[in-house]
Amino acid sequence: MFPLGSVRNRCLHALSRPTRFALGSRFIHCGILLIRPPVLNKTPSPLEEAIYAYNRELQLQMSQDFAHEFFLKKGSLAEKTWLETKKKLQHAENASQLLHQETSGNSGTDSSENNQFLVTQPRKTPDDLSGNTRSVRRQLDQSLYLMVKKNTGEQQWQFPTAPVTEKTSLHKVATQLITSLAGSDAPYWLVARHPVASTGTGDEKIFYLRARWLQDYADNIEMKGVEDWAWCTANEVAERVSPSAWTRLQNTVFERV
Amino acid sequence: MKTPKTDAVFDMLRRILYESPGRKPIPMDTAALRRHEYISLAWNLSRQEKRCQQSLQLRKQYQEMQRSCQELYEISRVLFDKAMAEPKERRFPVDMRIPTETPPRSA
Repeated sequence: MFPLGSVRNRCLHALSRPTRFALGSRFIHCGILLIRPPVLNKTPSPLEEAIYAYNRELQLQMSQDFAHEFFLKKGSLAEKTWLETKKKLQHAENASQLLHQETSGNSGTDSSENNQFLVTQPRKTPDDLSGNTRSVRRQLDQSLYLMVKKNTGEQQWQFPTAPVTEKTSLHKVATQLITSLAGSDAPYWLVARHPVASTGTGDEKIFYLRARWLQDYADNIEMKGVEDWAWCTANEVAERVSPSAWTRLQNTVFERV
Repeated sequence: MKTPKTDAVFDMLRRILYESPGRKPIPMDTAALRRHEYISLAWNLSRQEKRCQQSLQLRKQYQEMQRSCQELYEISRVLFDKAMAEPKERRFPVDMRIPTETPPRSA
């Protein structure tokens, strides 16, 4: 990934004055950007869909006839099915579209016994439709970030944070945070020990470490020790986080990461 | 070892590779050709845009990471050193899933 050595060297060169405050007068927190990576490919834009359809048309025009006498045994069921499909495609106007539908397994209408293993699941899940933000099985083509509402009086959505002292380190606090939230068997991977983003000014600073959620489709894990939690997309994070924090976090929090 | 059977196989492969009918060229009149050119242009433009967006995203992420590491250095040298020390065994997780076109059936 990024050469950590060079980041350190640049920091050393850029430092112009010694630190003014001792750590005791500052409150440093470690935040966690726990990301569930996208489960699905990007949804193609309308332009891309149109261009793919156009390319399929060209391919169909350019392709050689399928030599069914070579591949399919004479008089077999497969040959009969192929000859029927061929007739249907010859007389259809949108032949390439029909062919694409059949081969991509999305045709749920005439699913015979042979096709039951080719039928695919829809890209929108039930949790998408119900808007259940606690679930990980939504917005499958985007990354989801874990946000929590703590048990204190303030009703503010934030990334999970915990205070840090010089006795421990950022990554130790981060791993403790995740295991306290999701249990000791939590399927996560702490990407690096150094922070990827920071918010806060002056005396209160939050350094965010990046971690990936490895279990994207199994049972939803309940988060303990918080009033509420939500797996948010980048847009939802922008809505829930304060504007000053978003000016920094918008460089790290993206739709697909 | 050459046998009549292998000869037949070689013959068939030779016919498939070298003697199969070539691809027919797509007949395009002037209007269709112009349409094709516009579509190619649009495709190239959209790909360029995507590439620029992607590189901008990566650049932003890297600069933000650098900036926050700089701030950590200025605040606490101890924490910075601990953050920069690489762990002895550092491996990419094997059980990370690759994005697919549709979700898995076992839900």
